[in-house]
Amino acid sequence: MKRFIVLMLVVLLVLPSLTLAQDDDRITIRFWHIWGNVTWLPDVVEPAFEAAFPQYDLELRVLDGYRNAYDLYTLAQEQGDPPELLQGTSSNTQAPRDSGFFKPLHEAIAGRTEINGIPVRLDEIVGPAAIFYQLDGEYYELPWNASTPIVFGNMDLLVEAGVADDVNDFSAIPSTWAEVHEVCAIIVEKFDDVDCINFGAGGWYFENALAMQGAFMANNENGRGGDCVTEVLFNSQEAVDYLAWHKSLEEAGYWVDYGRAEYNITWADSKLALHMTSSAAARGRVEIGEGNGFTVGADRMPYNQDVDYVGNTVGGGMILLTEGLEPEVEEGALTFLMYLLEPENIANWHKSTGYIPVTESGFDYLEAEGWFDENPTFAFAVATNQLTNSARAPQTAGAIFGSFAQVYQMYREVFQNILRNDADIQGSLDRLKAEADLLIEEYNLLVPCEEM
Amino acid sequence: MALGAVAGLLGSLATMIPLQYCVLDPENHMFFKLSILGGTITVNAVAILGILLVVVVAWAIALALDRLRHHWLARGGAVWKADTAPGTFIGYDFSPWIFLAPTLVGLAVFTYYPAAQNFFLGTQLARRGVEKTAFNCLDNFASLITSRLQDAHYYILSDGFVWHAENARYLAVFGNSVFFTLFIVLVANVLGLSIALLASQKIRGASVYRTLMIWPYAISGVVVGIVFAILLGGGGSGFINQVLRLFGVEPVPFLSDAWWARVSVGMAAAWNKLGFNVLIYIAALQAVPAELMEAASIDGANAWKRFLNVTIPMISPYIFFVVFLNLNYSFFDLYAVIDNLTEGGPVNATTNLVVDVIRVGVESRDIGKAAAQSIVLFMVVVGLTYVQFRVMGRRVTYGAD
Repeated sequence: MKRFIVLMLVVLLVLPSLTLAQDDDRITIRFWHIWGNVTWLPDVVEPAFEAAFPQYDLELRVLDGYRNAYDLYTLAQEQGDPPELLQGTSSNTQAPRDSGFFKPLHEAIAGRTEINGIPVRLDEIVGPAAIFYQLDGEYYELPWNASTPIVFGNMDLLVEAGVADDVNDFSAIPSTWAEVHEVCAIIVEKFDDVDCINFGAGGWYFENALAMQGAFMANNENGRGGDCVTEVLFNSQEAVDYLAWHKSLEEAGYWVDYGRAEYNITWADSKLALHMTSSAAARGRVEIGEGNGFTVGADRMPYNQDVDYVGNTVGGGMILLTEGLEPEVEEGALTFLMYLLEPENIANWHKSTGYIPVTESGFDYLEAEGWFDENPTFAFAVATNQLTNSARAPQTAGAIFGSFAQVYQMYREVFQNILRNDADIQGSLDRLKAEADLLIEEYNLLVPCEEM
Repeated sequence: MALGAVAGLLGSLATMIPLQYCVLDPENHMFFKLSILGGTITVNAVAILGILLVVVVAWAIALALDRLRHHWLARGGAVWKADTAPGTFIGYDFSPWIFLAPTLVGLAVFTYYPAAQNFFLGTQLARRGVEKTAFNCLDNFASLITSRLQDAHYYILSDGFVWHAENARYLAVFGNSVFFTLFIVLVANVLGLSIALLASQKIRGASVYRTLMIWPYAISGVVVGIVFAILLGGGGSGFINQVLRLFGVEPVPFLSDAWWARVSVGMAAAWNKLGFNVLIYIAALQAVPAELMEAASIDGANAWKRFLNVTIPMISPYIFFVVFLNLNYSFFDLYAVIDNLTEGGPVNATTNLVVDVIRVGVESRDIGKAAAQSIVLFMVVVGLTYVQFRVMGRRVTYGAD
């Protein structure tokens, strides 16, 4: 018996090394991403890419969220074995650029028009996404998952309340701050147990509200005007106006704050008329609607009707390329990045999620396919239009500064304090600005601006 | 007296040398306002920090000096003296050190070095993923008391105003830790002892009941958080609220009201710890000699008096042990429960010291400030343990004494 156990242990020890020995000579490209629910990546992209480029072995690893991904990546860097590609987020753009972990995409491409036979399509990136992802006209990361906030509406509820004529009348969904009040007054009057609107008290809507009103989030043109950010402009009149609007919705009982995942339940139960969230949530919203027998409509994020609309800012993320790879490994990683920008892949990525097609060719592919006509209830086209229609003003480019992720954490605290504890709006924003400025000062001390 | 003076001098030196004799910038929001029952006082954060630090270090040095002096006296004046009793090695015996070495090396590498590093980090402006760090005196500590994002509000009842501090986000977080600790220690011990008393009755199937009651202890904090989130879920979607609704009762904002959220976290954590406490208390009650109880009842003591005057003193070492462990649990181990139940919300109402360390150090990558916070946490636990051993230790009766 003892001998048997020893034998088994030896076999167990030897087996893995045998399988390792059988390993091929393919170059491994590791991509750490966060799309555990997007089966398209492992089911379609991975086999297709490996079939097209048999010299590469694509290894996908799913991580739990942007922050977790960057944390684990930092650890992997500290231990000297980072993956070749990492999913990054738009709320943490500058710190990775300063970290020295990543190679600017434009440097890796080095002016080439194709990589491994795949065309470089960076000049096809749609306007607002382009200005968001570019710095000084160059791409540092691969623009990939981009979205804007949009309002999804339960059209059956809107028809029942008399707000919409029929379930395809998406224009009934409010698209200005005043219209939200008007529609919500009707909804709340009509139904006893239906909440009017829900959206997160988070940073992204705030950033979009500023961009839509043409306000900058931070000085030096959001840090893109040549000098880096030294202070945020969170206490501007535009910021106060937006939070006052949000607070007025809360006070009137129109905006309801849900806990995690609760909005899915209320949405499914038709207890929520309007839900503002990322256009990337489109598939989920629509599927819940289909499963529960109601039509889901969508319209743009409501804007301040008293001010000229300037534009929305994208949220989402990008894919970062690790610095210091062996040339043939870097070539493989670049090949995969360019592969993702191929029209068919951009189109399928869009269909699997709701993220906008970031390239013109991807958009054209979907249009030629008739996707936008066949899916009127899908809100995708709305988000896309919103992005392509919006003026390409610097305000919509999004702020870049190293402590942005940290400041992003503070938004939530301050906004919830305003909404729940009736904290004074101007005073809260003044304090938020002071705290954020301190963080920026600290960051700039560690990473001086000229080193950027 | 002389010892105290030396310790005081060494204490301030030991504090100031690693701090490079730096001076905090008083303009850097170094004051916070505290109003207690209406009256307002302005507290100078620099003074508090300085005095606290010097006192703590001086105290530690005095303690060490005192030990050395005793050691020296015991050895008859020599720093160390070879033991010349028959049957021992002549000269210093190094063998204990050799046997201790593996443990000591492990402790040094995995505990003492990181701890020392933490103290160093506490004086640095440091961010994860940024190689450069910069010395910033005690700013990390000062920023704790001067963070102005949020005021601290504490209420005994939802409208009974107790104290309010302006510009005191950290104070609010600190208050939450204190609240959770008091709540959990009280509830888990009173309930734990009561259940143990019931479970020690000699009834049929007692072992089954005991097992069932101890069982929550085997559940991880993550699961506890999720289970209670399902039970208490806000907006009427939670199980308890669904049941209440059947009886026409308005949904209780368990997780969305600051006060309810604190109680919910406290209950979840106390429930988690309850099994452990019951287990220890059952063992403790079994160790109470039957003859003592018998003697007390012959003397005419009723059940309550027997409990108060015989059982409690006899099990006091166990109570001490359980309270001590619960206290440390409440301060250090609540993260999983809080993160899965309330995520520290609403508006930080259930964010305690540990959750905040993780939020600042991991989520915000501000490891300098997180290190400062963890040092505060460390000092609190050291202080609490010290007080506990001094105060409670005296009241504990050990059987042999």
